Amino acid sequence: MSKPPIATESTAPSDVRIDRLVEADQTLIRIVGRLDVDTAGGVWDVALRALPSHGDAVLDASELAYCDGAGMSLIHDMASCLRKTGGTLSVRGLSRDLQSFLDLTHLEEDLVVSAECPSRRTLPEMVGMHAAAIAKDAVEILTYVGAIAAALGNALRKPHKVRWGDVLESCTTAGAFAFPVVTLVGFLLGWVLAFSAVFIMHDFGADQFLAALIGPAMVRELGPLITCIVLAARSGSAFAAEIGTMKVNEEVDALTTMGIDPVRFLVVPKVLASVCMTPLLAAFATAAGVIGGAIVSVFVIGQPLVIYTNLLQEKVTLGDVTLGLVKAALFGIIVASLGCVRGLQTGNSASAVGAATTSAVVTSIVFLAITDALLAVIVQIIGI
Amino acid sequence: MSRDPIIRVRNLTVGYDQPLLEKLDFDIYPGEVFGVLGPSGSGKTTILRHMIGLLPPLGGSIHIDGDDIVLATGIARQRILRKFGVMYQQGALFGSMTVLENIMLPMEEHTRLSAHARDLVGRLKLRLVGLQSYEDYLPAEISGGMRKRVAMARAMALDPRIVFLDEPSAGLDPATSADLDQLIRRLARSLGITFVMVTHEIASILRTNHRAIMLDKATKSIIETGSPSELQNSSIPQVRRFFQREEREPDDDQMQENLT
Repeated sequence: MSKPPIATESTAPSDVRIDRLVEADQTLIRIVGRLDVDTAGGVWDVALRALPSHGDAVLDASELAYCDGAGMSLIHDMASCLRKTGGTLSVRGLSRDLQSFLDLTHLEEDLVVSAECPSRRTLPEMVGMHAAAIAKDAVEILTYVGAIAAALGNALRKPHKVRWGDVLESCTTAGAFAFPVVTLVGFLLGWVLAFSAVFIMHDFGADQFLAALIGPAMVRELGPLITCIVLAARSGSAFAAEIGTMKVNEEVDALTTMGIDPVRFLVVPKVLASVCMTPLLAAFATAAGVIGGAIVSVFVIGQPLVIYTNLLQEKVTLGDVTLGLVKAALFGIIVASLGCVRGLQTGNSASAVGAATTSAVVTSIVFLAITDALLAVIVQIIGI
Repeated sequence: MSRDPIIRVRNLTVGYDQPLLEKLDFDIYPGEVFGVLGPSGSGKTTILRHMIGLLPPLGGSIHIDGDDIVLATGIARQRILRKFGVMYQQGALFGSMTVLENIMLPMEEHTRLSAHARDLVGRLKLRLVGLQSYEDYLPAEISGGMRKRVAMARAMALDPRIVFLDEPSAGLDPATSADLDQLIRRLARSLGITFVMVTHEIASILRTNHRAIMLDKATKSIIETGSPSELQNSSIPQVRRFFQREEREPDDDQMQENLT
């Protein structure tokens, strides 16, 4: 036969033909043309139907111009089908190159087709599996939180062991650089809150009490919360991505085998920076929010500013401010720790870093909400 | 080498959750370049992770200079970690630090050397691996071969008795790989450092190793131990085939070319 053509112009299914000849008790199947990834699908069933129900068959490939991996797979499938009924498929007439290709694929061994998609799981099984996964994750987070708490305790006892240079750097990236966005979001939040409330308050003749709504709400609740939500999205994700990438590059392993605790080296500086910077950021966000309210009060209702500020002084106590700042610090610990934990939990691939970043933000926000709810109850009980 | 082994592995079961290799026993003696060989997937890197304490084995003991790293915790573990350095496959250099800072980090964390002394020692180690004048480069700014040499310098920052090498030739061109091998031999000879390397690069094994073990996936055991020349002439066909692969490969390439 001639050498296989280097290229053909058309690869339509008509390029291949399957002939079946029965001579005495011998079935001869002849494949003519190109059997490749484009044509094999069209003749797959034809080829299988051409096989005898029992006994051997001969595949004549002397007019097979070209055959690729898909074509070889079809020949494999034919051989397997025959083997099931106790027959064998002998291939003859293959060109030397194609024969050497076929030899590489071991026609005598079945290609084991993976079972149909893994057996359907029932609903209770799936619920159980997810519950187990969540429980396992919770235990892991708890373990890391313990390790971080221990490392923070150590840092307080031996401050010279802390990498203060890294703390300062994190303060800059996660603190100072976050100032514009946090302040802007705080301002808009205060402004929107005041703007939506003021018309309803006006109906009740209560528009001079706007500061009583904006002040405590921003100081106690919204300022710290919105700051930390922004931080979770901005810095928590960055922490997770940074540590996650280090994990993938074996840098975390390198630290461990150098006898350097990754939690002390990587996590503690970030958590310390977060504790220092979030109360500051929250203070700015809150102040901006209160100013947003004041602008509504002065320019929308047309009240003198002094009404707003006087009421603000009366309604916002030192206790409120302290509560807001303590909350911010606590939220800061949560965001930074969870970001770092998700980073340390990263698997070994680039997509694992993406997953770690996503789950850092999601977990942080969930934990912020839970902590905030718990704090609300505790504060109510002790009466701040 | 009739001295006491520096690493003694007994009854080791290797694996993450399924055993890959079972009941391994071998000794590594001071000053030798020891190879852990085997085809991909035979558990070479996993053994290494067990030996350097990153992953607890499924069973058995690994004594490094007399102390079992499998059981050690806390300060005892720190003491064992100080005895060895590790060169990771991709270098694992800290990307935010310069080459010199990378080498100085272990000293900064574990010694009382002054900043001046650390700087000096760091530069000396860089000179040892032939990378003087690259101190202030970031890892991303130097070539793969250089990164590996920096990683070697970092692994030796605390003058350990043992250095573990994970696939030292991976991703290097033959010439760079040969340079690295020569460096390993010289350091072993002149400083008496014990090198334990995990590899499947035959040329590199022949150039560097004093002794090696060959792992087998099917029997989950060590099928041969000895010097590279002993392994080359082993009575076990599988081991011989592993070493002959180099010579056979051009043929395979020829065949592939014909096919496409």
